[in-house]
Amino acid sequence: MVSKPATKDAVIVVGLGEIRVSRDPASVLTCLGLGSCIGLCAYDPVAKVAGMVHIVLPTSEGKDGPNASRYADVGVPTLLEELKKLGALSLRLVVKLAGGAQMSKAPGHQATFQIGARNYTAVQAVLAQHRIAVAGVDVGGNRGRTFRLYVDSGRATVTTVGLESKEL
Amino acid sequence: MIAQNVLDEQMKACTQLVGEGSAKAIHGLAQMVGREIQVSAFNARRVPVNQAADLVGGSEALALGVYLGVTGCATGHMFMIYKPETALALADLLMGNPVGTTKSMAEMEESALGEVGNIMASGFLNSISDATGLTFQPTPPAVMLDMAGAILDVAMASILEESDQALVVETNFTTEDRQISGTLLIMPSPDLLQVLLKHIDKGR
Repeated sequence: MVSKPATKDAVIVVGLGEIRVSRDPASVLTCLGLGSCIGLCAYDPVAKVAGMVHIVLPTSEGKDGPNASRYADVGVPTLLEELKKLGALSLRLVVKLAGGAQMSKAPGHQATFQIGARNYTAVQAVLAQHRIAVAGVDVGGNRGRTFRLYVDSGRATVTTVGLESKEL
Repeated sequence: MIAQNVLDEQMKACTQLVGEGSAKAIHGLAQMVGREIQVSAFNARRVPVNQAADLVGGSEALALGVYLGVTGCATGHMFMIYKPETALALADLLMGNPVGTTKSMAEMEESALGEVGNIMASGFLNSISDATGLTFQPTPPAVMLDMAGAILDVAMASILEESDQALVVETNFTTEDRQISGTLLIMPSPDLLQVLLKHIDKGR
């Protein structure tokens, strides 16, 4: 499936640690160049409400405040709350996620570059806590990804350097 | 309470220190490729961590990045960022081939670029060690060819654990014919910045 040209849509870039929600059918939520970070989107096909969070780190260890959404254990529940405020129902949410790559396997860096896997584990745990099933996943590997969610349809795509974009 | 102007002065001195180290790093590169390399721009600024990728063309821009961590008395992050075609040209120069020979990055080319990263990082850290009397070592290099955002992610994650902003010292360098150009990014972690501020005159 070919992505719509970005010029027609209102592209909403979800930066590191940010949460964005939208009800505008013309908008596209996107996390650009995800490496170890994870982009997680949730879509309510009935209320036509969409949201995305750009997770950077696994656990907040008690840190809070407006910037704590960078942590999986804060960012994911906060996104769910934001969506509820716009009329979404947890039961209807279609959740997809991408990212969590290990960008390098160079010796001496194992712990550093395994942050992607730790992020994914943390995201899985928090989704399980909220009893939310995942409808589409593209995580791991060693390539960067751009993740998009089209608010009109709930279609989610992943683009990797040198490959056709694919639908999740 | 320390007066703000004293802090500003210290910050300036600290930036200068990082700048001198960056110059040493680029000198190391010049020696390896046997070409004169000039600094075309030098910037030190605090940027929100989520905008760091804008310094190297945006999150989705394809880039070759060599990453080395700073270890020892404090931690930090070093990146050498090249456009993909420049990385190929640099690999040619390093391996003594006419520019245009290398068409794609393989293990050999990556290892050559990693070695350049090593030399540059050592030049930088030796300079910092001389100025502060403290010891730092680089981690081995990690070479990545991908979207800039993805390349920077691990360093951003590490910085975001402690701070919302990163001090980024950016040096753009180029050969006269522009065949080789790139960006050296130095991102001290907050603790490294503290250590530098504290020891800034001790080693001299």
